[in-house]
Amino acid sequence: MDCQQVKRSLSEKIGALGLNLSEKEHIHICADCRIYYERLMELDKYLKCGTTPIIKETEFATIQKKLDEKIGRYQNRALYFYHLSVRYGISLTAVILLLIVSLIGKSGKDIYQSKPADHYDTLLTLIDEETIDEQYIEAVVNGYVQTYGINSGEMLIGDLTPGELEYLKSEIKAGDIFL
Amino acid sequence: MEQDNYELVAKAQRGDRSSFDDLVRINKDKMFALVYRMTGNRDVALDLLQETFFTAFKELKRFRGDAHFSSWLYRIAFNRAVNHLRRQKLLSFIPISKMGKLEPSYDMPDNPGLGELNSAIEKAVGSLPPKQKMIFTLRFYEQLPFKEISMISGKSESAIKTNYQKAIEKLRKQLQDFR
Repeated sequence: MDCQQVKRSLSEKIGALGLNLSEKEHIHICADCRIYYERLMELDKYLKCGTTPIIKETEFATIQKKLDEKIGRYQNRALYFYHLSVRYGISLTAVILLLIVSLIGKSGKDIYQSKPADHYDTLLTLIDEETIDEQYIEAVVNGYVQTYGINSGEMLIGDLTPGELEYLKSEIKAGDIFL
Repeated sequence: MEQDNYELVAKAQRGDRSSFDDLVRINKDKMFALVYRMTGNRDVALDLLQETFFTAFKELKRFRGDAHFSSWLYRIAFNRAVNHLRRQKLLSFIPISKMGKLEPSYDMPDNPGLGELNSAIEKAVGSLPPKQKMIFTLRFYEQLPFKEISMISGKSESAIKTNYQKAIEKLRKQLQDFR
């Protein structure tokens, strides 16, 4: 063992000094390391003279009281936030679910509702009462049905001229809903 | 001791408050000794001790039992003490006029008749950098293995040994007048 190694090893052991055989042999033959070891022994002795800081019973009682208060506050706060999260969590979940359902419903409806309802009302006013434009009527009827549903055709009856109504009855299958 | 700790920790983790109080009682002296030696101030050490146990209470569910419970507590106490010392160091840069009225120091020794040597030891240990102070305290006074100190501090075992040797050298130089 070299001196550096022995000194390092001795330093590590201070506080629990106990030499192994090779260290003992080295110290026996090396004066420098022997002095170092003796100084460490002295330091060990001195350091152990120092009193161990001990917490007094009164101090501990104060700490425990403060700790109890702190823990109590923490638990109350945690409980409060738990109740709050339960209460608002349910409401929030309901709102989110409603939002999701309405979004899904809207996107489903969009497949049929390619044009706004007002569009067909506007178109109807433009119909020339004397002229029967078959394609136009078909588009209007289909649009109405898709927009308002299968029974919505009734709404259309009032807007059609007798000639158009007759045409619907005879030519368009969807006209059945008017009868 | 650690076996007792484990059983109590398991109960405390299930919400048994009295088990947590027992854990506090069992570990208070060791933790107090560490924070007191690190800060050198009794009042500060008591506050840090309280904070350490409060943090332990909050984080108890996260303790997985990979290390000794006392090692886990040591780590919390050490972090608290280091944070305090950092804050104190930062405050030392603020001019006194900006700090307001200074509080009287309560940094009195436990025993008024404490010898000169004891004061010198406290002063010498107090002059070590925080990490060395912790390593020295845990190794010399608490007789913890280097491996455990390495787990507590999150540093390698060889770094701990080097720091311990440095701390011993500094103490040896500072206390050589007592030889």
